[in-house]
Amino acid sequence: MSSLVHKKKPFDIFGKATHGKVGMWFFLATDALAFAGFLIGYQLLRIRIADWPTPSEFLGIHLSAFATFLLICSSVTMVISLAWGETGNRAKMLKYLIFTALGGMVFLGIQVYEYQHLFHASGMSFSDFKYGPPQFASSFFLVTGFHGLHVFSGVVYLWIMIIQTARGKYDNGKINAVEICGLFWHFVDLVWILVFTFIYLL
Amino acid sequence: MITEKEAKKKIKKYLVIMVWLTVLTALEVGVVYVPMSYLLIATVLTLMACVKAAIVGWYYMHLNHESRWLQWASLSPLIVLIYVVALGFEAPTRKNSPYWSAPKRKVLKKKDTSSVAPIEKIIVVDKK
Repeated sequence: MSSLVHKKKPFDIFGKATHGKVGMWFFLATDALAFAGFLIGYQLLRIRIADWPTPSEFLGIHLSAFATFLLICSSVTMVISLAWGETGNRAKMLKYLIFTALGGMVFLGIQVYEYQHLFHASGMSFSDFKYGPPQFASSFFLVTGFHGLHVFSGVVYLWIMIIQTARGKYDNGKINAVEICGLFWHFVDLVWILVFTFIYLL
Repeated sequence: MITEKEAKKKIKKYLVIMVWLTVLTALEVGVVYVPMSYLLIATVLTLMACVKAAIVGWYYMHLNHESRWLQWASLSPLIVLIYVVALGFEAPTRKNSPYWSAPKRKVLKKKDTSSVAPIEKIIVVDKK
């Protein structure tokens, strides 16, 4: 009878999730706190400064909306890639992983273009803003730059996975490592959705 | 390992979700241009953003397949994110901008820098 009683190990509470996955989830939770800290900083500056501009008048909302759409698309290609990975179809998994990485790279390109445009059109830099308080520019670059850094590291992470997939490491359908990479990538998308709302739209 | 048929079924679901996310993004951009009070715009946009983030977490990050504990653990940053949302609502109350009624569009003016002393003058004063 006693052999039937299953003693729970600490990680059993997370079900079938692997240790790596649980670790990534907790990293993402702390990373979300970092983003929340920056967003709180942005909002507090906004409260204290009287002539804070309406962001939608200076920032290119349509371009950023397209960038949001692009990140959503790359999230989709990521999950599609995982679905094919589970079937052991290396070619299709690889194809969609490359699409995902390309999506991230185009996003970064858009961000570079946007920064350059803002610098020339509104004189926005870390310390200056032609039409209002410089804190608007510095907090904008802080939050979006921190996100851009995440996209960049996500793209590097994805290329590592692409190389491993191309070498046939995941042909057996055991794609836990790629799933963990996917978690990070979706998180980048998720955070952008919030940043887009709080920085660009509100 | 799963079969190709199962994978295709999953992919179909993912694409439907993507359409929803795209529609919500388009609506978000549209809402900004509707002449509503800031309070209303902020409420709608925050709700939409939360729904989108939840959809990504639930379906794409596969929280729907995880254990109850991991689902709750993933919500832990909400403790601080609630503060972000609250500040987002509070921000315009401290300014002159109309909070309860529809705002008028501001006319852009170049920042007046005539009253600010050039940096060379400040340095000279310091030397004396």
